[in-house]
Amino acid sequence: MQKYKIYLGVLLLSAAWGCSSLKLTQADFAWPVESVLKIDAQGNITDNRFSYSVNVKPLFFEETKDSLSYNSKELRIIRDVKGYYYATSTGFKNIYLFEIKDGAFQMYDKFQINEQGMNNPAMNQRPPYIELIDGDKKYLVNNEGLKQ
Amino acid sequence: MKMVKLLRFAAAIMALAFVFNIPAAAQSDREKTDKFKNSVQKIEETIKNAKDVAECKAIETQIDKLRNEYQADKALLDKSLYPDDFNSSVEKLTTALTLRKGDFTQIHELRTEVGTLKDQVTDLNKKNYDLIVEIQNLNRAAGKNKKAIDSLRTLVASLRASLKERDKLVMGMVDSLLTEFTKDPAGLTEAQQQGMISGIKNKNLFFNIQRTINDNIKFMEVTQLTADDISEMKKQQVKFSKIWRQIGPKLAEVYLSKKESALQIEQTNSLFTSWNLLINNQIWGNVDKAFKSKNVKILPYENGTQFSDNIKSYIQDQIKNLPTLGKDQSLKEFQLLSDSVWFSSVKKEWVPVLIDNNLLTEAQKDTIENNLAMWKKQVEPPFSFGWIYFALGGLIVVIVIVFVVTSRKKRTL
Repeated sequence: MQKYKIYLGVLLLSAAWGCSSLKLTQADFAWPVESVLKIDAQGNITDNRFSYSVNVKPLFFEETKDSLSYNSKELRIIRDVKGYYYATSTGFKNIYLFEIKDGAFQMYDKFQINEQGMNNPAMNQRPPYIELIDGDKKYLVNNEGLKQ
Repeated sequence: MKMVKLLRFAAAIMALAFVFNIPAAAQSDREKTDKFKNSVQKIEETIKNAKDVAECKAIETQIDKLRNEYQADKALLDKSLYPDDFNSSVEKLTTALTLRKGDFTQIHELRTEVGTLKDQVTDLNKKNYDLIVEIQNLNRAAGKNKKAIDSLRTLVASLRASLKERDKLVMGMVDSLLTEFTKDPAGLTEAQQQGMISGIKNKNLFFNIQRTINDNIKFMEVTQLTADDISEMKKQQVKFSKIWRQIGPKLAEVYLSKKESALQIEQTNSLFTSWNLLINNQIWGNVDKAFKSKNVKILPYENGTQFSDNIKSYIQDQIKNLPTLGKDQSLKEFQLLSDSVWFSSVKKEWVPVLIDNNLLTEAQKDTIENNLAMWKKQVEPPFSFGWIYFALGGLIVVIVIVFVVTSRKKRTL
């Protein structure tokens, strides 16, 4: 009887483990081009093409320590093959990486690009990287960091 | 010499070094996509504003250039132009250009057609003018003899046919303009509006419409029209006026900034109103003539309600005056109105025209006829039909009695 109980326990555990480890692979979350989104008076951005909206005031505060620095700014955002979101804007020193967690953009990491702040940043999809360009400078970045 | 060569070589080397040392500014994919989208949008606008086939050809070159310029970025554009892609975007431009070219071909054909029509209309305008003058002269000539009257009739018939032909042509012109005006004027570009205005000018549109109405008005003034003639003219007026009502407001919108033309539109509107009024007056005038020719004095009227009310009150007066006038006289009056005027002339010739053109309703006609029937009852009391039935009944009873008696006699025997 004791033996059967152990077998049953093992069976249930393996079934539960099997369910939780269900994984769909060969995914590609890459956006073909970055979205350049205007920030409204409340600090929200809305991307009609990819159907999401979010408030980005905390991101601008994090970058500039100024709660109103988002005013009349644009946020550039792109998603890589793995599904990480990369965001930056004119004047930013960093590029921010986000992942979706519990209905929010959760910061995964940030990488400093230019201490003086970028003049005219733009991002391109270059799988498996995201290419960040600022004027004549180019950087390759992924969730592990800057490659160049 | 050697020195010069060396210097040139050094300059070239320096230039090359300069070129290779300056890194080319990188372009973002978003920028490329936006540039492509803007170019497509610009070409679309150019297609809309194209004025002729030559411009369309130039646009064709622009489309080819765009296709070649962005061919290298096709993969990027295929993804980023969602839901379109590179080919479908270029294809859309080509289709729009083909359609625009088609418009010009159609407009060219219409212009050629209108050119021919314009000449015909000018000839007919002159012919009609001459005919109207001739008719006026003949009308004025005192003591018309048979020859003059015959000649007058021939002229009137000729003028009628000629007017009809010209009206048809002018209406065709306005109609062709309507087909060009399939779009709401507000949706037309500046170039399209200009094209429309020059088309209208080219057709002498305002002049020809106003001339058509004026000639028809003159024709009515110089001739005696029958019920059929007036009915025909009224139909023509209604049809023409309907087309004008469709195009008039659109023209007014196109000519919003051009005071002179706006005035012409207003004048045309008021001419249509006058034409309509004149035809209505002619119809009522002819109805009135029918009453006056038999000396039946109905109070003046200008519309169906007044007409029916005035005849009704005339009949009621006659019924009221019956004791004074006496039955014989009243019967005569009744027969005059009912038989000589209403049934033999007005109802036969003019009531259909009045009803067809909404100048009189069936109910108003029925009111008149019910009143006539009421009057008839008063002046012709239900005649001796009762006696006829009585006599017939008596005869039948006699026949039955004779039949019964004869059959009984036969049985007894």
